[in-house]
Amino acid sequence: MNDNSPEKNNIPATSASSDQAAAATKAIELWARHSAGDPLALHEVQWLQNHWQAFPSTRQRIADEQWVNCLLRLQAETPAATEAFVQQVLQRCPPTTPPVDLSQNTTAKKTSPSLRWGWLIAAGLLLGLTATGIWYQGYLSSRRPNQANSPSLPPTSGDLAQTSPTPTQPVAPNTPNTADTVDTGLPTLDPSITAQLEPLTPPLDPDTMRVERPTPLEQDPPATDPLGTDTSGPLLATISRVAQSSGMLDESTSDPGTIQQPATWHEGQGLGATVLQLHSGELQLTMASGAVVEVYAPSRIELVGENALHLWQGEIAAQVPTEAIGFQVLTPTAMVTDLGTTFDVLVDPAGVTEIEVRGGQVSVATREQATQQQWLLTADDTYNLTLYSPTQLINPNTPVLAEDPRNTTPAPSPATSPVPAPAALAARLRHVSGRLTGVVSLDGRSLQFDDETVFATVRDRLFHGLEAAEDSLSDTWSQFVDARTAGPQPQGQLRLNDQEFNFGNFNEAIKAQNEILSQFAPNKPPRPPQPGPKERLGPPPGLDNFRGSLMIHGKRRDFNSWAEYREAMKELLGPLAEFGAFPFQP
Amino acid sequence: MVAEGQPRNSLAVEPNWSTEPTHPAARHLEGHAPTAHAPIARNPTLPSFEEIVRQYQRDVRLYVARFLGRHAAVDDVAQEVFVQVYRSLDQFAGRSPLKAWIFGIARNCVGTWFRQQNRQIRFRSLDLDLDLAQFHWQKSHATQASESETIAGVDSDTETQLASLRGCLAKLKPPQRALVQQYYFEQVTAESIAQQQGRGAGAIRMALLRIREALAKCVRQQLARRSTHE
Repeated sequence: MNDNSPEKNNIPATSASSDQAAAATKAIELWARHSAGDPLALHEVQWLQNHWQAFPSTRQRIADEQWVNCLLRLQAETPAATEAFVQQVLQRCPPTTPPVDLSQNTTAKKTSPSLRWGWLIAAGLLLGLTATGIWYQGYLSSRRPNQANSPSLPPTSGDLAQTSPTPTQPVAPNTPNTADTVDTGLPTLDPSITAQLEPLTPPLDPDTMRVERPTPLEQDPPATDPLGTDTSGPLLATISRVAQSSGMLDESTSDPGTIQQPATWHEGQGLGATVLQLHSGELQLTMASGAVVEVYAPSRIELVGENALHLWQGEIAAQVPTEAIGFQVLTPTAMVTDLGTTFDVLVDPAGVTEIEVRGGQVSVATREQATQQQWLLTADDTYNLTLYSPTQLINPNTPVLAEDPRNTTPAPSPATSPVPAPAALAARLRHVSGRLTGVVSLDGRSLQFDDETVFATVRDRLFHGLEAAEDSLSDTWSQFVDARTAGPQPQGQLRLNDQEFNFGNFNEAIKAQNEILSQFAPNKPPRPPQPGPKERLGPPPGLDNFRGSLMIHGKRRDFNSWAEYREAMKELLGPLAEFGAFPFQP
Repeated sequence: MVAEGQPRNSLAVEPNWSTEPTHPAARHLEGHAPTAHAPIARNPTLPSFEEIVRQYQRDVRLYVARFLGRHAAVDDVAQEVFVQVYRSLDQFAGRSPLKAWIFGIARNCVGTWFRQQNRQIRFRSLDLDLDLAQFHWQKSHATQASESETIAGVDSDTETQLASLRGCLAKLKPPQRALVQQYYFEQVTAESIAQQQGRGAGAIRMALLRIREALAKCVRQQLARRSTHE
């Protein structure tokens, strides 16, 4: 990143130090109220969050204060209170554990009832399958031997069982069953309960299932893999740890008519080119290359190569040994290439990708050709990158998870948009010092920001413009960029009702703007996911009494309504009014 | 963000501890431990689990609290740390100090807690305590070598920090010391103190906050002085 960006040059660090001190005092006071249990108003919470985003020193102050609070409480703690803590721990770690708990992990102990229901549902699902698709079930049990064993459809469990063979007794020929030899340690069902279960889904047409499962999957698993291998091709990864995980599904598709297969993965299980959907718990995969990947639920990943995977949604942590350097993680917007490191990647439901390096280096490139950008992240320098995508371009009604990865090419771009997407990009980089650099770019013209709030305001404004397919957005943006790089900083004052906001530069003008809006729309969430088109440029609710004056560079305009205020802004600020400083609340 | 998949801290030097309690040996031990919290580990010199809890509970709770701040989950997470210690104790090979090993586990538990919280409210977070906790966690990611600096500017053990605190408490002016004495040591509520003094409860809380700020500065200085002496 270029350090001589306009944002950096134009904002002397000390220009607003007195305002900062006042703001810090306000922040501490708000915090004191909050920590005393006095509930803050929503706009106060938002103000405080915005403030300490911008000023880490405030947070540091609060952190210190909290640390001393901990020390004081420890120092003052009575022996009885200490003893209570010790006893609670000892109660949770009984010297002898009933044998029934031995097969369950921590999660299972805590959530035992719901877990059991999970298995009941899984069993119901399987019952439905057995009743209608015997051949298929036989195949499944041979592919996932432990599954057949764990939710354990008992051999004599009622009517359904009488009319259809159980998975442990497959009728499908040529499907050797290894289930009996695999101990998954998972809870088994009470046969009497299972017998009462109705299949949760309507009986499936075997033909439908045949369509869902392409023919290669109907082949027998390789006889050399006693644990069962989910491979329809070469082995790409092996499950190396299954932690506190349950109710996982795999190979689901977006078709609502298809049934999702509960998968009980186990350590040592091999995986081919599959889609793994992890609904709870954690899973550790060791790629064929040697890269170790932790997957945290809820996540959806697709194995696309011996040293590459596609993270559609969710969170993973990768640890890449020397021999696996070059390990790649694809997300809907980014391609992350490891250069010998430990790193995390998160894709949120809106398609925002966040990459954080914990050791070594990774290179990150955007996948959209039109905005080709590349960054190098290092653990001791710029360690965190967030890549925003104008999600509405993908399709607001289609979350990433609903896409069927198998229908896409190995390197799809978010250009599944209904309209030809303008080449927009927004990225935020974090430096270990706490410094932040935001980049917002449209059609190759970009601006840099060093303030989180300002970056977010401009970014959201641009993205919403894209979403609404605003006329001449590109020109407006271009003029805005010119005004930011070459024009003077807006200096002036905004008076609104009894309040007064002074600003000496663009950033402060935007913040004054946000401050007003947060007061006038205190109950509005900061960034609603899907604002209605065009409406967002209208006045926030509760603007009955909106009077004041705006003065910029000595020119003063009075306003008596929201509309007049907007006019004044446009007149005095010119192109700068269009993004951020313009009355805009996403 | 972000996930804490593996212990990244230099404290977590024991490579193979696992949060996962399914280790066959552990199951065996859990099921057949003959006496109450006898030394479980292979290492017979290891103290019993109860001794470990008593010895390290303050360290662990302070460690967790440094990240979670005043979040109500501090003691829950600290409990979870010891549960994990209990489950993995047989895997402790004694190649590193026990305390460092426990801190490695604590770090992982805090990471797990953050992941759970993140999933729940990541995108509509108005939880100030979590927001603040998240800040420390991210900072400690960023500066892994000197994680404690971002929290407190100190890298000393709990006892040293408490000793410094006691030194600083002694330096407080009498009315301030009396306030701390009442609020923290006698557990008088801010409201009661306010009534006694004829002030508002808000003023009392603000006074306490200012005292804590002053104490933080003092404890930092004392610890820095100690470390330069050493």
